[in-house]
Amino acid sequence: MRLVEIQESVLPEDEWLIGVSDLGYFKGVGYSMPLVDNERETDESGNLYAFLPGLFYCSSQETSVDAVLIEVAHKSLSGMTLPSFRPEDVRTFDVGSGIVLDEIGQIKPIEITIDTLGGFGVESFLKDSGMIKNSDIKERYRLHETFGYKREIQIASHLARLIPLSDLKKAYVSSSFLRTRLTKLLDDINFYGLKPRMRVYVRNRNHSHGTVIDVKYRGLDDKIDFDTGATLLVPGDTELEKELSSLSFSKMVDTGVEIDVERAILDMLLYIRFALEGSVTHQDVLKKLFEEDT
Amino acid sequence: MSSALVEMTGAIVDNIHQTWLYKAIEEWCRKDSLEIREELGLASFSITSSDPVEMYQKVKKHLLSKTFHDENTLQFLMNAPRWVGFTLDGEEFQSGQQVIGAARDEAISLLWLMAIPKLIISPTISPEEYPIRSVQEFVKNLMESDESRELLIEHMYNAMEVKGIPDITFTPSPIGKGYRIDDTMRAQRIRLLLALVIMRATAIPYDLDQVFTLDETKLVEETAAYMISMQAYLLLRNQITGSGAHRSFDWPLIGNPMVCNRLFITLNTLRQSASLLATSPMYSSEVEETRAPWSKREFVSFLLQEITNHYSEIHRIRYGKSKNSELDLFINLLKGENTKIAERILEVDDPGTTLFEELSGYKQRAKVGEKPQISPERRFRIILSSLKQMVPDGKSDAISSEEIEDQIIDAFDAIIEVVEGHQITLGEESERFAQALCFETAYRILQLLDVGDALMDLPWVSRFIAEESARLDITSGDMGSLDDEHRIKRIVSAYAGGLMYLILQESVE
Repeated sequence: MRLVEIQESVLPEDEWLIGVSDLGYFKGVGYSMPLVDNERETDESGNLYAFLPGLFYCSSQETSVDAVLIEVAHKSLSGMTLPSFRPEDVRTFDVGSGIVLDEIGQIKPIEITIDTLGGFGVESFLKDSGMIKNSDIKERYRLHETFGYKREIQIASHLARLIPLSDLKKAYVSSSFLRTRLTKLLDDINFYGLKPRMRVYVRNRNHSHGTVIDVKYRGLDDKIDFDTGATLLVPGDTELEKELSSLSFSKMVDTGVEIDVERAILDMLLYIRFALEGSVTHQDVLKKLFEEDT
Repeated sequence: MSSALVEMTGAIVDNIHQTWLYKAIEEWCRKDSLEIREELGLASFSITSSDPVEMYQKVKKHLLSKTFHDENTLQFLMNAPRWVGFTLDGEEFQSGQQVIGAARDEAISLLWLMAIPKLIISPTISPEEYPIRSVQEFVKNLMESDESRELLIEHMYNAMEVKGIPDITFTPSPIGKGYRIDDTMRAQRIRLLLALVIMRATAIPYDLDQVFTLDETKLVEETAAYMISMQAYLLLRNQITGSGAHRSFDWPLIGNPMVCNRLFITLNTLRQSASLLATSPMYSSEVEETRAPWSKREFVSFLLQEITNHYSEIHRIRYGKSKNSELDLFINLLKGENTKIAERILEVDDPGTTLFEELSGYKQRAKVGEKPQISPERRFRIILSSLKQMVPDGKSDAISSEEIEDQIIDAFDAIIEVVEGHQITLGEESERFAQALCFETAYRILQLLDVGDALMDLPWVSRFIAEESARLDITSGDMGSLDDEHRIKRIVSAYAGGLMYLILQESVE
């Protein structure tokens, strides 16, 4: 079980999804094998979905969900392909510790606890480098008039000199923006526990900015209709219910068994509950998330 | 008796002070084994106390490392005899003095070979009169046999005696006492060694395997072509940078028709000799897996690029990161219109005058603030090809981080212009478009530097950098830059930062 983040944009104020999951379940992100649907024209049936079951907190909706489903579509605009989803935007934090920079700018490893979160910042090494204010940067780089924001490049070259890539994730988990996100997740887990949220995050052609929808799991009511195979219920949106219940994913932990959305969600919930041993305190969850060799 | 050899050896000795390598040759020729032993602090002269091969290498390295501070060149010179098949046999030495003497002779010979390409053509000879045949004749004598090399030594001795330096010895072959090889291979491998050292001295890259397959005649021609190409290229560079009071291209100067005309004469010589290079990836391009020498247009493009680089260098030295928008625009116009200018120059009979007129025109356009009218797609191509030029063999460590930074800024500036220029058509997709374009551009640059795998870390590293940057603004209360109107710039900056980090990381690993 690991901390997993899905990024919508590089800008910090934009939407983020952060949660706990096991990327070994699908060997990364699950991709649906769209079932053949005769009623639909093949060329417009775009129901290829990227799927990540797990307990995720969504920033825009300020709520938690049992899974993230993103329709994978490509739109072409002015000669560029704009993908709705990139596998590179999903990352897992497989680190056992964090790092901070001490007063003289040296790397110092730290154990990740509620108190040490957010301890990393680049100010300490930027202070001495004589560059910090955007207005100064603008002055220095005025010859590239169209582009006033060169500070990121400066930060990057300082970071590259100080912290190797293998350690950068440790710095990232120790940064203050991540603390804010992680705290939301930990608070949510602490408050609502590990029960199913009965909600999933969906982003597709009808909800291009992503939405959280209420769902029902028939598996929980012991009412699985094995004949139709349809398990997941989406009250109030039969079209989406039909679309989601026709999805099938290859579960890699059991040598490629095909599995549907609902069963993968319930599997993962059970696994998370098991991994956390039922404890939902901030400290216990953190400890499990940043254990070495899990 | 060949007058060519008299001419060549005379030229070499006349030019001898043109290279600092001669200083080293002189110093080591005038030091005997005893002095070298003392200098190295070798305790005993007896070889029983130490391994003679080790001692040999130590002496050789000592002598060479005083001159060659670049580790790669030093390693090359240390290992080259072994690469072509020679082994050093300690049994052949009877005394430590012999070891030191032999190592000294080899080092002096290597210094000569490294110096010859620089000396073989006098700087006063104009490029259309380069003595190509005589250079070939000289190389032929160098490579043919021990007898032909003896002849060279004799000529060199005569020339040096005239010059008043009879105590300086010319040793054309680095292979002396101690080196062993099968007799049947000896002559051919010495040739190869001589060719490789000379090629190395020209700094023109070569494909070792291809050099190995050349027969004697071809090897002589090829080695001579390396030297002529180097000479022509250096002359071209010197003509552009100028010296002393003659700096015709010193901004705001842009040359004159006569100076420009001379550039084309030199370029012509460069093209003739460089087109002969069969073993070098330089001055050629690969089309559908076959390598072909550059076309006339590509050579003209190359000349324009050299001129552009010269102005960039002036900008860097004189203005640093501060602004000289006129020169900056001039440089960008030349970069952007390189192909078009080259094509226009090819169409005329008087390329020198046309080049001067082109430069005048662009200087005028830079003065009124005109920016190059090039499609973003082509602008990326230009940036990618400049990067490609910097990394001929995927050796990104050879590029300075400052150069990479400049290229990245150029590439990402272009992205901002594209997105801002098309804001209306892109509408609410502007940001996604910017992200996709950044991602794509970063991918192409990473691939070019042979580190395409680093792409998987690009999004989160970029976001991390964007966050740290935003936090600096928040803590300093500078919230204005976090406005909506700056979002595109911030997205692009974030990717530029992420890419910068990954490139620097990959190139240090």
